Amino acid sequence: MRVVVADDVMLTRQGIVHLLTSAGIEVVAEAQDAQGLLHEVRQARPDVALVDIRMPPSHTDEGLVAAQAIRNELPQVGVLVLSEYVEPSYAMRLLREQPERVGYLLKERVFDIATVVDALRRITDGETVIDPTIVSRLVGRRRRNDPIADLSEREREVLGLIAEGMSNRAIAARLFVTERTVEAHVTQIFQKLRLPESADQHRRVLAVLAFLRT
Amino acid sequence: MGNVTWTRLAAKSSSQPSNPDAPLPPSCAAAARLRWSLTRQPCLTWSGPSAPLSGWPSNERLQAETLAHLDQLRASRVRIVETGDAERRQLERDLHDGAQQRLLALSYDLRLARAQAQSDDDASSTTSLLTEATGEAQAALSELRTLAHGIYPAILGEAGLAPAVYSLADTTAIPVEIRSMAEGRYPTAVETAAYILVAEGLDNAARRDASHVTVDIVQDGGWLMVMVEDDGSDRTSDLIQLADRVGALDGRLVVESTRLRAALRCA
Repeated sequence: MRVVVADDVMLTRQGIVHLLTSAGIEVVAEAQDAQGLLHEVRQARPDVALVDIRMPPSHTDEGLVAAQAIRNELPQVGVLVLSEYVEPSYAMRLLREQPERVGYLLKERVFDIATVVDALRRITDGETVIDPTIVSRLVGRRRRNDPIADLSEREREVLGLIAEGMSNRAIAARLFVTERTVEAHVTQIFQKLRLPESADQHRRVLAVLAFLRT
Repeated sequence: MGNVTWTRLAAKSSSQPSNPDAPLPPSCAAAARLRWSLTRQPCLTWSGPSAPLSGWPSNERLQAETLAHLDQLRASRVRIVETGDAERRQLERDLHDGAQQRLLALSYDLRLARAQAQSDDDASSTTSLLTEATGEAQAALSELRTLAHGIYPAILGEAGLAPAVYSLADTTAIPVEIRSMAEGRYPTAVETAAYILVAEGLDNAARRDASHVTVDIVQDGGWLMVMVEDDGSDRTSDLIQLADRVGALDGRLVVESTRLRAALRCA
């Protein structure tokens, strides 16, 4: 797999590149800001661009803006945004703006390189990837009259995996059950939470995240 | 929790609880009255001789000077608050770009070194040392992140008030219901004041054993109205620093036993 890495801090960028390379990922170019990233992505046409959310000049949401620019211009290139903080708002913004072939992971995931490689593969397969920490924070949020309390333990587990962006097939493989069982769980969950069920997987992720947030 | 530093700042207060003498009106008609009462300027008149004495400044001139002086004072109050906030933000950035990045890089190196040691046959002690060191580096990184977030919550400056308030609600130990939320961007000082008010409201509700908190943030014309209400026991602090901050913005804060309300001028 070919990736471009963008991070304005050289030490961090080098660390990420080393870890990716050691895991057999081919880093075809590096960039230190959004402009450089767009340039490199146009030149190298990677499978995925790995982008730090905070880059010059304003160090705020350049990574998200760049993700949108890349996905608009080169829809075949996926984008994995890395963020230092657990911020569900950013993940949801990313999904709202570009629901396909995008991911949002915490930067420290890079230490667990297998997770990153898995995320990169899922993105190239057209899936969405949302960091499990963000999902568990949203699922664990305290609510009054909590409808999530009505879910069984297994249903709660499935809800979390849906929010992480997994397809029914991937959830089935993860939980060692059939896809049909997962489908039944999904129907139950959406009924209990009074959410409209959607065949579109990305819309499904966004609907679940939006539900968890309120 | 991330908001500790902010709330401590807001909660430093005198011992007297405040009297909710003038509640903020809920309706639009009442909001118009409120606007008037909030924007009313102090009226200063010269009560001395009606004709200016020779060598004395005229009544008009005195009045103009006094008003100009008041404007200067108000401006300096705003500057003090804004400078403090800007410094916090810079400090957070320095931590993020400096110490946090170095620790991150150190963690990457340790991780690589460990992978290499693992591939050697005779290096189990090295591997365990490196595993320990990696854990330490990540713990330090996580602590530093929490500290930086407490100094200035990056999400507030980056994404605005709504995401920052949702984030606060996510991490509060009691259920928080956000009933209404103004989604736009507002002047930095307004967003910061509103954020601190909510952070303080949530923190304080938890300390007063509340089981539920509601948050309302709505824009009404040129005003951002912020309300945090809980079902806890009576409040015992009156949030002088928060009142100062709101006052510097020409806004108004009403502190009641289980409710905090503010009107902040946002346009």
